[in-house]
Amino acid sequence: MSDIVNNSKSSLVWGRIGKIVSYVVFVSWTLITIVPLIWMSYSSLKSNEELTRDIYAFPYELFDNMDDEYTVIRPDLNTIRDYDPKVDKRERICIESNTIAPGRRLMVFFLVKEDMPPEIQNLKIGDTVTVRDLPGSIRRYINRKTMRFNYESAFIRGGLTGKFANSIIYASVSTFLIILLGSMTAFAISKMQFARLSRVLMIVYGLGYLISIPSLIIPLFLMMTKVGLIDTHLGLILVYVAFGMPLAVLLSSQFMQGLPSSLVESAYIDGASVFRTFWSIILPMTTPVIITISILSALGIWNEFLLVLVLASSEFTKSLPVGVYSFSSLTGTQLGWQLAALVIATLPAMIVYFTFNQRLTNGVVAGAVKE
Amino acid sequence: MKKAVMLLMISALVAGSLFANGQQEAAADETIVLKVMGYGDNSNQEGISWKRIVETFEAENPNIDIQDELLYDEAYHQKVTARLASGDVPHVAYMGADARWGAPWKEAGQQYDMTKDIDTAQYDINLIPKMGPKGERYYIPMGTSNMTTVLYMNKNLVESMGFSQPRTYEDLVAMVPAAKAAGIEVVSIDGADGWAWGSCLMSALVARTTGDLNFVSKAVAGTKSFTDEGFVAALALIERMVKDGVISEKSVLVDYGTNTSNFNNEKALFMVQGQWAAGSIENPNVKDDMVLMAWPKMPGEKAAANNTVAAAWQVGYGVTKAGASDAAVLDAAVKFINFFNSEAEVEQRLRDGAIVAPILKGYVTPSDLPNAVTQKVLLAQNAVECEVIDAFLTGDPNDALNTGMQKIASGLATPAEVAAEVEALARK
Amino acid sequence: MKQRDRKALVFYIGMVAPGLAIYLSIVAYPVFYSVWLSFTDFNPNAGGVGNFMGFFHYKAMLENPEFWHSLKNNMIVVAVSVFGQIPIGFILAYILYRKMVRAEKFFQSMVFLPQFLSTIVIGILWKRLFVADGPVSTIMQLATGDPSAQFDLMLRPETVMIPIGIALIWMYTGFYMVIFLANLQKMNVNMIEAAKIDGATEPQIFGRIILPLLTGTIIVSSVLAIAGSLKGFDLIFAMTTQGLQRDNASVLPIYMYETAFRDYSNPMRFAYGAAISNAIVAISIVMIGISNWIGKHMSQDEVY
Repeated sequence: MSDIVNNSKSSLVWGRIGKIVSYVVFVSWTLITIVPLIWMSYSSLKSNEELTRDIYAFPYELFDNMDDEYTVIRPDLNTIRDYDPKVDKRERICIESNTIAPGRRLMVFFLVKEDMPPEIQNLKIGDTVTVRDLPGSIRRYINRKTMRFNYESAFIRGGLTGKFANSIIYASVSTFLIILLGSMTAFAISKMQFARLSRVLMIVYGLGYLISIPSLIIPLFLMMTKVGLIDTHLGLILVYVAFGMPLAVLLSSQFMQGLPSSLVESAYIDGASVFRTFWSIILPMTTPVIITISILSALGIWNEFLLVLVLASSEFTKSLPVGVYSFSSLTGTQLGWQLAALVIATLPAMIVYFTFNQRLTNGVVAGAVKE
Repeated sequence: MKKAVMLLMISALVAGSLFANGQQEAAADETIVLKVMGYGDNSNQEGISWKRIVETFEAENPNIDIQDELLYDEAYHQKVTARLASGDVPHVAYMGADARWGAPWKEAGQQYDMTKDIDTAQYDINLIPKMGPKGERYYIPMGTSNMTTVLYMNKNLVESMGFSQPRTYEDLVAMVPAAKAAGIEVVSIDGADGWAWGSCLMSALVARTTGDLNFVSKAVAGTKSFTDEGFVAALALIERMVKDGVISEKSVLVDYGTNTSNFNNEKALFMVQGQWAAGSIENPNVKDDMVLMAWPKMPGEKAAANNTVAAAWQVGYGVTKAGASDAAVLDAAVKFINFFNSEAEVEQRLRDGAIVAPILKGYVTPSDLPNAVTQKVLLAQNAVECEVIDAFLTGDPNDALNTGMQKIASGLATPAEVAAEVEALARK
Repeated sequence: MKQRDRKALVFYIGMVAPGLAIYLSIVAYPVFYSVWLSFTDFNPNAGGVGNFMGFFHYKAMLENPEFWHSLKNNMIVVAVSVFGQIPIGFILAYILYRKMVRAEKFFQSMVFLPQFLSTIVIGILWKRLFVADGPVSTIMQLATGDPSAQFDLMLRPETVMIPIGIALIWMYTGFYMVIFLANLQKMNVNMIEAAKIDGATEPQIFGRIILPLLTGTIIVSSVLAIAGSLKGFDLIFAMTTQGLQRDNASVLPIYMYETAFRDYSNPMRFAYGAAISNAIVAISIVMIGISNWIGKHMSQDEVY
């Protein structure tokens, strides 16, 4: 009797310790995940100087910009104008910030002279003016531009808009083709005769699991160079499709094997063609697997780095990970832009993750377990 | 079925149109197509000026169609290899003559001697180095020598702490206690980047301790050895600087951007950098009075190497063999390069801090240049030039040297060990 | 009959051919190309003919200490995956399965999250966390009271794999946790309840019932972990600065990349790089074979 009591007491103690340890592990894990992301998010709103001055301080400089001083400068050849000087001939006063990247012509504004009050019209090269003293609309404009400095720079100077679009193109077009070609192959393997041929195909695709993009990157580079597909969207998409095929074929043929063959036979009797049978009878029933494959492929391609690093060299073809990486290249000094770029690259993935949490989890499980 | 075909067609169209976008529309009969590879990207002045230059040039020369590609950093080198390999050789490209910037063109046999095409009325031919074994000039450098071992001094900060511009190494050591007390560094270096140690520091030290301005090329050729006393002494100087606190132990954790930020935010009295960094100093308190100097007299320095600064040939745009094979194309190529090096553009580059001094004939330096640029010109005029290590030493031995210095700075290797390793790899 | 067969074969080929053509030309052909390349001195810049070199590159590779250093680091990454990510993932899954914490959905999604972020982004972010006087060093300075404390584990070849290992565990454990959790949930609850009624303690239930049932999953996970860690490039590449740090932390794919695409002084860089990547494939095939073999033997033991 007392033995049982003792036993349950000790297991109660153990249970409690286990509980505490469990909480400690999960809470610290959560912190390791979340704290860097939070730090990254708010630090991306800091100016370059603030970032080195106090590593944990909250952003301040870019928001408190009413007293920022601007100097009237003579625009030089490399000053980017926000108007077309050929069309718009109005005289302008060019001012540059003394606080954000002064002298580098990154924060430059062109004030239309005729719209300015006389005291500003009279400013000469080298004179200074504070944001507070500027007329309302331009003041608000500068306010906004200053706050968004890192983000606008990342998008415009870093060309992240185009890279964002490229990432979407690679992920969506490749995934679509992987699904289409993969399930066509799977249909042939699982629902058509020629068992021996099918077995050979399964082995050929199965071997693909052992091969990854990094281990073939050199021949891929040389090959794509030779056929002129290097640095093109088509070249990258073809590679993604090829490397996505094994998973798609294996997963969907396994699933299709589970569907009754009578479905196919009765369709043939009704006079449906092979492709029609595949497209309107089998494919719709394969939806769960298609979702799984889409998630895994699209995510893998969205985050893929090495292939784009090697095969895409121009701005026109680069995707987001490489775009973000190039901010931290040898000669990059704009620390704030880099953080903004990191946020831009992370946010969409986070949104997708938290929206489709359960689905994603199930998809990953299905992809791994069915192998 | 119909839907599937539609979807396939749409995706093929999307892919196809994107692909086609890469190739420019075919040019009319009389237009000369000039294929150019430019260096830069949207986030830097090189890229911004590039776009403007191409646009203006095309507007002024309607018979020349420039098919340009603008790339930066590693992507540029990769694309050069790719285009050479696929036979799509550009007519004009950004190139150099050393192992990094010249090797692919040399390997591919695409180097072309521009000497007879250089307009001696525009350029001062004496300022364009002879690059090939027979005195060939493969490209037109953007400026005169590219100084890599510049010591940037925050003059106001140094003076506010009661010091003046150091003349000897001991002067630097004397600043250590005061700097430590103020919580700042004496000399900041981007020590996390291996190349910074070799290009921006060691190249000068080697000359100082060996007394030979061309020691590196001799050691690479085998007439000198990396285990020579002088070379080991240079490595020992790095060890000593860290021990004395002139260079902080944590430097090995500082990357390129942080280094410039440190100096910019007055967290360091001095900064080790190349001349190109002058333009990225933004803080008016720093940049308006900073001094660009050669390293002061080092312990054990040979008199022949006083006041040396390592410098390499500036890179620039040159014509390839492919570009020179057609007289009309060559003509257009030279015209474009001359336009790229027109006085207004060169002056802009000078003001941006991208070059040290122009190579234009009879160029009169404007009087209103910003301090950083004036400092550069002064330094270039007064300093004695020596070799930059990685212009001669490449591949494994150079990597071993760079990481070896990082190891020395963090107390993981001795100078003799590093020297022996470099020597062994260099003789392989 | 014959004719119907032929017609069916045409349809079969029609369904299979588009995918197979892409797959064979982009995955299968380069495998052979890569093998050929590694035995030549091929350099596309220099005309593009490859002279036969025999085992020259393989010999050079085996004689290069960098190869062995990268291989050692690669093995550490494999070990971290198999003996770190998998057991920890298992334990976390078990905690969630036994409902030992509340808000288990929240914690699950937090541990699983890093899996979905780009490795490059994570690598750059962690690199930023580790810089001199950066976020991590600042915390260390506060904790130790030593204002000069720095996070310098990345500087030493002996310690560099510690932060990288932690990053790897943090990134990928969620994946294994989710797999184990799914398999735990598929298990028969009645067996556990019955054991409980019989007075079995929590550790007993774990060791005698749950663990044996998951052997298959553990083997599959190990294969995935080995294959994944031998091709891993992005995280270490982004987390290290070129120079001492990347040299210290080099793994085979990085060594391959730096050789083929960065070492301009080596005219045979592509061929040499191909030799390295072939070695990676060979090693991963051998290791996956071994883990399969072990797996087969272990599950056989259970039968008897």
